[in-house]
Amino acid sequence: MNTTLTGHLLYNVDKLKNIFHYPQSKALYIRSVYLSFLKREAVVFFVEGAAEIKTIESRILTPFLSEPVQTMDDDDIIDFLIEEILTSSICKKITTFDAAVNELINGNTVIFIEDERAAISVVTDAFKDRQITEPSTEFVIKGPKESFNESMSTNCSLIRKRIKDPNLISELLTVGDREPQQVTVMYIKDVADDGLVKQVKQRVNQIEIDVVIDLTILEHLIEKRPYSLIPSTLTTERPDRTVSFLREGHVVLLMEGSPLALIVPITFWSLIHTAEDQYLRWASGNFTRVIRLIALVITLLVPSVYLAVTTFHPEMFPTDLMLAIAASRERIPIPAFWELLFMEITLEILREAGIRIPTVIGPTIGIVGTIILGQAAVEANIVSPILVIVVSITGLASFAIPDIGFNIAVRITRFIFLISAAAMGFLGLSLAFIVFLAYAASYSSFGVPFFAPLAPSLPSSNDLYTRPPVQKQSLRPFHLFPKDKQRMKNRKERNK
Amino acid sequence: MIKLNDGKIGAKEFFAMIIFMIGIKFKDGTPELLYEAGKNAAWMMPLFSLVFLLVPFLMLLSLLKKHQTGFLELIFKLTGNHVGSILILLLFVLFFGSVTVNYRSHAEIISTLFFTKTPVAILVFVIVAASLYIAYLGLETIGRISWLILPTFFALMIVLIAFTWRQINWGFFFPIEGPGLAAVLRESVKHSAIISEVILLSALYPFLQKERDFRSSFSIGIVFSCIQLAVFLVLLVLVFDFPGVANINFPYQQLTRFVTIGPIISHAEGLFLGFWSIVTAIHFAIYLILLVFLFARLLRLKENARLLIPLAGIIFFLSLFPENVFQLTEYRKAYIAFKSWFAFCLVILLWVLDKWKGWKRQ
Repeated sequence: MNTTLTGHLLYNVDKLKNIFHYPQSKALYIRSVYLSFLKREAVVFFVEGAAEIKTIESRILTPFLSEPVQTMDDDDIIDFLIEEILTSSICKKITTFDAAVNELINGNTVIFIEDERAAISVVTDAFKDRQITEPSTEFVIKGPKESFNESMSTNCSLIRKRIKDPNLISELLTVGDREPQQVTVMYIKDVADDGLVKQVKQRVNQIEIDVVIDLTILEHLIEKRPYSLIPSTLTTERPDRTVSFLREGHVVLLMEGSPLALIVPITFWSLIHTAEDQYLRWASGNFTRVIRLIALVITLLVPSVYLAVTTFHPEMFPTDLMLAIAASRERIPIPAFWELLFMEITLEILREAGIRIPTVIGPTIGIVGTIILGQAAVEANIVSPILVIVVSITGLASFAIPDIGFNIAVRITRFIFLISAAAMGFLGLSLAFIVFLAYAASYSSFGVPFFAPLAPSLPSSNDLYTRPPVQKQSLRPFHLFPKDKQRMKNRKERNK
Repeated sequence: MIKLNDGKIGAKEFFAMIIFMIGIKFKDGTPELLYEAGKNAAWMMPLFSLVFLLVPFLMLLSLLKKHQTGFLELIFKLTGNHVGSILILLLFVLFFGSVTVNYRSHAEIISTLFFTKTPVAILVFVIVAASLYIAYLGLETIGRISWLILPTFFALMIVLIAFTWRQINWGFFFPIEGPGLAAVLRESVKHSAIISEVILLSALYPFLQKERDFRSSFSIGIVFSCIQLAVFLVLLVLVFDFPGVANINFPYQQLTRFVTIGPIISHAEGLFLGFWSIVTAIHFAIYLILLVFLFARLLRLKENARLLIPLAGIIFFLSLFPENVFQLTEYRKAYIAFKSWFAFCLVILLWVLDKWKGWKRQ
């Protein structure tokens, strides 16, 4: 199909009509104009819904049908039209049918001129976008409240609004063979490591697939280990968070139609930090971060520790407490492991159902959850009251893990730990834990180890379990090999 | 360009590995051997052993610096191919044997104290499997998790000391010299293998990011480990008294039973068992990877993680041979006595050979 335009207007028009299955499909709109100042015929094409008619009328048809002030002095008619007639800010010359089709489906208007081997494309796209709204999953109390929407240009502008730096590069790559989609790769030229940028672009270019439906699919396609529990990329809907990653030397990918930014490479720390950790003052930010870490440990370990203690190491609890637990379990016919498994799975069902349930009957699920599971199950002697506490704490804590991918990974791991604790108490649990930790430590995202810069130990601002005050975060993390290693020069250097 | 997964480890990771190789030996069957030999002055033994090994260690470091190769290559370089192969074979057999015995002894501790009904074979299998997986992920990963776990390890050890403080009777410290200084010194030399095993870690010399890191981490790591061993040997004596401490099995595990954290946790030994298992898995993963190094050098193969699987398999089956703990202790004693002299003599031999070659060239 990649043929060049011919000099015959009728042929060109027919061929384009064929490509768009006109008149069977009503997508293509055609408008013929006679350019009296050139004494030539012109045909204007645009696609229904993709282009904005008002823009076409004011930017193309009005100048074409009115008598121009300038007279034709250029040899090239196309150049003359672009430079002196059309009032649109972005026009370009195209020479192939491929390009013409591409422009049309992206909402632009294509103009064929009689006896010309080239055509003009004018930017008129008007795809309907959602308003910029507040973030729905990464909400903060203190801090910016903008989030990305489904338009790539809006998302780019939200990022550019925050980084006023000519070194912020946005490169366009194309993925998908059947329906080529554009992917914007953003990075800061004098910060991000060249090798990293090259590696990311290479992975995107290596994708062999007909269509990439969304950025989240692209995320899977650029991952090296698709079966891994741990994610190797991060998506965020917050422009401010994206910007802070860019400034550290990460690479960001954006795609049309996706209200997210994809950030690579990532570490454990980026999965458990939130934007608010930095916006709140030192003490408050660290407090919330520590609470989140505790929640992570609780989600991972509390059910299995409970199981290990009650079934293998009852001596750990004082006699009174142990007797209380034993008394509460006295009338329950099922072993503790099955009891716990039943409750944990029920909790997962509750969570899943909570997302899918229509908002109108949403509150019902709360009632169902609390009354049926909390009350009735205990009264029916299917679960013990202490277990309800254990499962609710775990469920509550699991909501504190901010990243959805990591959140689910932790919830899955919790079941693995549960099984190992059921098999061999603390021995099984801790061996499973260290094996999992070893796996995570060996895991890397775009060449960056999961626990960097803690293990392997590298210089950084120690923004890890806790963070230092902002003025002390003077180094960019070295695991990203930033070209500019220092965020701020120290006072002595500044005074020089 | 990003080069973080090049298989090399940094100073901190190496330090943590030394702690997990040597510094945690108070947690296994080692204290029993030491108390038997050094009575209530056993805590001095790691320190005396360190002094005794000071000269070989310094020789080793200077040799490594001079030749810029790992320990095993050094053996080949200085003793030639044939003798080198025999020496490495000996090293391999010695370490293979002691690792096997150690696996079993760990399993016995768990079996005796916690899982009396579980067959020992299963316990050995679980520990072997966990450490095999960690070792399979490579040196880098072992270094990383060692460094990740180390702070928690220290914190828990401080908790252990703090919560057993009430049980301490400072009178048990005396007589300071135990069976007499001469006897302690003699036994320290005999048991120096407990520390001299670390010599094998110098096979990792080429795998450190910076050569300087090796020397600093090696020295600090060993001194730290010895002090740590001494502190815990003192603690155990102060709590249990001698000969009590020599008569009870697994004094460290018994010590953890004393830990009572307020009214919530009456006995924390389960918690310590958990953490001890984590540390054990790392400990054995380090040994396994060193064994692979030896084995690969011996047969002139490339260090390959796949070699681990047959090695671990053989270790698992061999570790089931001894019938009971008493046989194990005998094996351990024999290994330690032999290894002590072997490691010491090997380093001296290498140093002498190096000097002799230098002299001959002149």
